[in-house]
Amino acid sequence: MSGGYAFVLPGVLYLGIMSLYPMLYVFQLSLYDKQDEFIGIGNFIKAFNDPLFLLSVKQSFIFVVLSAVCHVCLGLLIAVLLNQPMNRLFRNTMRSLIMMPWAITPVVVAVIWRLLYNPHLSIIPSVLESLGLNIQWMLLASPTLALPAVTVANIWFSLPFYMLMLLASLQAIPGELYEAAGIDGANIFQRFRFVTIPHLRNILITLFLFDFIGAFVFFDLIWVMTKGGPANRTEVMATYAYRQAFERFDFGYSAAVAVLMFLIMLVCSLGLLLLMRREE
Amino acid sequence: MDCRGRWSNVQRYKLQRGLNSILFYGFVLMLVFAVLAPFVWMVISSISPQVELTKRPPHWFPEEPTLHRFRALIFGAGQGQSMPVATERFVSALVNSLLVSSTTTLVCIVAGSSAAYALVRLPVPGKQHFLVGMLGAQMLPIIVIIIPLYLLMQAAQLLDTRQGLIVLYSGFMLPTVIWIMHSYFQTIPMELEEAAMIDGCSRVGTLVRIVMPLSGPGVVAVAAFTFLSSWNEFFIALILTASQAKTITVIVTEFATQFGIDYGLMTTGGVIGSIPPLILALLLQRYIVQGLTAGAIKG
Repeated sequence: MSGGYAFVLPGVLYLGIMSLYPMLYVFQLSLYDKQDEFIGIGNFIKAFNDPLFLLSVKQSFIFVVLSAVCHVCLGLLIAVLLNQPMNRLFRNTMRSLIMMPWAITPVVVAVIWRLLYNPHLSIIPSVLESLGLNIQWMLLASPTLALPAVTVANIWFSLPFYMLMLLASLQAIPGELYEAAGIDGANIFQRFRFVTIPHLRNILITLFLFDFIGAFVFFDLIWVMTKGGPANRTEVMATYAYRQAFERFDFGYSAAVAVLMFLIMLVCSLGLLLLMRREE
Repeated sequence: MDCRGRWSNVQRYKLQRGLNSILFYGFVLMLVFAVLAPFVWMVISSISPQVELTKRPPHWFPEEPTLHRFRALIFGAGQGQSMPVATERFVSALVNSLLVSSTTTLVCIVAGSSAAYALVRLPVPGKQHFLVGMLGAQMLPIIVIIIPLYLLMQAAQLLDTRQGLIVLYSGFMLPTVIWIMHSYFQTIPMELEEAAMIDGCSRVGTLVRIVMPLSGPGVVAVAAFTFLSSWNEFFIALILTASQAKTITVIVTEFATQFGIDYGLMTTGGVIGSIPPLILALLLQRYIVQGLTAGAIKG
């Protein structure tokens, strides 16, 4: 008995100090203001009256939903492509190569895309020019285009992960099902719609959920690319919470924002899980 | 006549199929190139001389590739060269990252495997609660609880130290490590351990001699995953470090001079910083994918 405790103890200790205590502390902290005065739900009221906070919530959702939808759709598309019959060596090489962006440090991903979005250093404007497109290439300085630009960087970064997961699930679908569908006269799209999609339904929802949670708290990429600018047009909840705590030193208010983030994630996750369970 | 016509049909069919597969392989190649191009552009920029960096129109390969930025970052700036402050700190950041990531990996493997083993084999009271708690902890994002952790580190006088980073990183990765190890250990037949114990092996001995070697792929995957995650970590390092313990991810963002950002050095730092994770990912691809699929899909 005591042997068991000794084995688990390090894990339990870490868990307590690193997760349980901080979580409780954040809830407590969110009820105090900058001068350590107890103000009840004052910080939460302040948040809902702050247009910048509301903007950051909206932009978080745009960033997250756009990323997740593109990850799942593009990931599935590439996975289906790589799942076609082809030379084995070629397939494995391509799969290893396409995995590279995922292994790169998020901060370096931000560096790469800052370079690509820079009007003087990027190769993209001249490529576009040779295609006859003359576009002013100043994406990260543009209030309307900065958020989509940052989202594209995020899509590029974790696409390989979702592609690999979907490829693994595709390979688990028994080939007989496709044959049977073929005998019944299903064409390639019908086979995709009635064999592939139903089989991948749960993994698609799981990945969507996974991405949702991951992108919602993703700080590195946006911070290094734009620091929330220009004119707060790429400010998301993560950068907003960071700013309140470590630039304004308003720990109580930042904790309240963190609690709100946590609640939004909880509600959305439960919603998606319910969706998964209900239609099963 | 008839015969010749049929023959040409077969030929036409073969030609068509050949063309189709060339088109298909070409398309896949193009796609892979498009995915890799951004990274390639960073590598090209890092070896382009300053003049060529901003030259219009840009070309894919620099006419006079140079490694002077790599030299400056690793061996220090030459006499009279003015470089951003981050240049001098680069090597120490590299060392910090290596030390922190490898120690974190070690801590996670030791503490994680012993906890996972106990959860599989020993009668630990409240086992189920612990597993559920771990899943919950896995879901808890760092950003939500960073303030208490910062205050905790401040109280423990671990701000701006490598030890502080190691403590937090291993704390964050442990739930995932335990979870994956737990699922690996479950696949090991009990009889092997019993045989070892009859031969006089202790619990710890069985874990080290029987269980760990048998779950080799799992251990490798978990170690690689832990190393990669600590190497890539930015948020905690940004908040916790000020000068001494800065890691490579933090230093890469600091190549600013009074004239603006030195993109040349920044990309060079980025290339150097990507080398360890890329090597790890390529070498251990199979294990990582296995481990992730086990952790993500089953969990």
